Amino acid sequence: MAGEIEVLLVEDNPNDVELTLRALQKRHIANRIKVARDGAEALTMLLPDGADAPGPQPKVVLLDLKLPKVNGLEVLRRLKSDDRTRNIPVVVLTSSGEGPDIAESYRLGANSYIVKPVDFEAFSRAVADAGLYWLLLNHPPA
Amino acid sequence: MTPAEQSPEIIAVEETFRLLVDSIQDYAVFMIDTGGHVVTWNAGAERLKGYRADEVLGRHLAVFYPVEDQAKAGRMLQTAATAGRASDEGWRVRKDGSRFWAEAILTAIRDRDGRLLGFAKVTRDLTERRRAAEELARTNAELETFSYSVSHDLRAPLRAMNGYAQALLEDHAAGLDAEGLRLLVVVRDNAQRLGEMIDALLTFSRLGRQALKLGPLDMTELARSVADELQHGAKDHTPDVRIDPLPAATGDRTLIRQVFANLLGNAFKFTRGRPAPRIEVGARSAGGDMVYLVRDNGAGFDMKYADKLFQVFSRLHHHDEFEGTGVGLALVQRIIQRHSGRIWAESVLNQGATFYFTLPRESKSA
Repeated sequence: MAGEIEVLLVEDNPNDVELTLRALQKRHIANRIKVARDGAEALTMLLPDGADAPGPQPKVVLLDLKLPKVNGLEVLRRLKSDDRTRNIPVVVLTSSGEGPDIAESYRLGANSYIVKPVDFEAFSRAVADAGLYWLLLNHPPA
Repeated sequence: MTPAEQSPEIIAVEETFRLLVDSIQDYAVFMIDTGGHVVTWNAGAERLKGYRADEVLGRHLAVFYPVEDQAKAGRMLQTAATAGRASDEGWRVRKDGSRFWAEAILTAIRDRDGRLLGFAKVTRDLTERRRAAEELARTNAELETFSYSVSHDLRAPLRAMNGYAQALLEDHAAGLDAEGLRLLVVVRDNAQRLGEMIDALLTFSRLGRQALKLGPLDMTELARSVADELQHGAKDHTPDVRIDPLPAATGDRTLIRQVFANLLGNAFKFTRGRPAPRIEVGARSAGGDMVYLVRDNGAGFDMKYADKLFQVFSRLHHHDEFEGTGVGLALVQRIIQRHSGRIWAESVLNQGATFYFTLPRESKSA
């Protein structure tokens, strides 16, 4: 399907964006990765205003928690409480593997989490956790 | 009994007792009649509440409470009358209208036949303590924010340094000569090490604040499971580990496991490359405490640096010899101290080290 997004990366730090894209593209995991630079942009993209029509349906959302405008936990809450997006798996990106954020993310319905920087192995584990084997199977490493 | 029936001895005892109560400065101690009116007054009451005896005798208890809390006075009297005792913490008002944070205990006084004669009220000023507790809570909250900031904000640039150095190594190695590659690896390794140190420091700071979950501990099982994990993790280094049966202790399971993880982890680390590496875990009784020990025949340390052993970021070995963040033993000491225990070490350089720690049989949170 033309224009279909496979991975939506919601991340404001340009270095983290570059390193994450590099990790994923290096293994040909996702050819169509789209980046949202803050929480508001992600919500506008996935939950277009006033329309019942669904927005793009990425196979997975990689969501940073610390975002300008609308923070990651709020984005997660909105995605998981809207029928249009509640089934899209969300993998949370965190700066450290501890603290209340992770517990809160799971409570809000996150499928998995990855501690940044996102390397391919961590991404694979998170994808496995989220039951997204087919995302990998569609694009076997070249 | 009327005064006429009392013996001189009883009168003398009562007088002594009255003088004692009168002279107490730190507590307001006074009597209240069954209707809630003040009938006696001591020096502490005058100091705390600001009224002289002649200004307050006969007035109702409610006068000491702030307007919004005056119903509390009646409830206190009722509870004390039915249950024998009532206690409360809250704001009280002095004669000049200023407030203080009080802890008060109201006790019902009954005669031999159980008739209510009145109440004894003891009040003390906890304003200072409350202020200190609030200050502490504020400081802790600030520390929490600070830790969060360290953990999240300071790591972002570090992550970029590490990530870009790694990308350079993976994708552009061909453009660098051997020395260039070596320098780049040094940059990446140091970025990673800084990340580990930040993590260790965060763990250390969190430890001081989180509440202990005390319970009975099977110390033998704890030491054994940690040692097994280390044996499995160490591929080419398998020291001979002997664990004596250890007496049970009381403590926080996760934290005491961390103590064994650090002490045994050190024992594994510092026996690496030694001939016939050997690690022992044992225990002995000393006074009321149980002393646990972890001994190795590894690199050891010079006892003249023993005071530096438990300091944060303080290391007695060079990083290229034995890796580490310099936080491990500081963490262990903090855990043991929070269990009201002690920790110390003995060593002979190049012959090994023994770490001792105590856990009181009845541990208390520090």
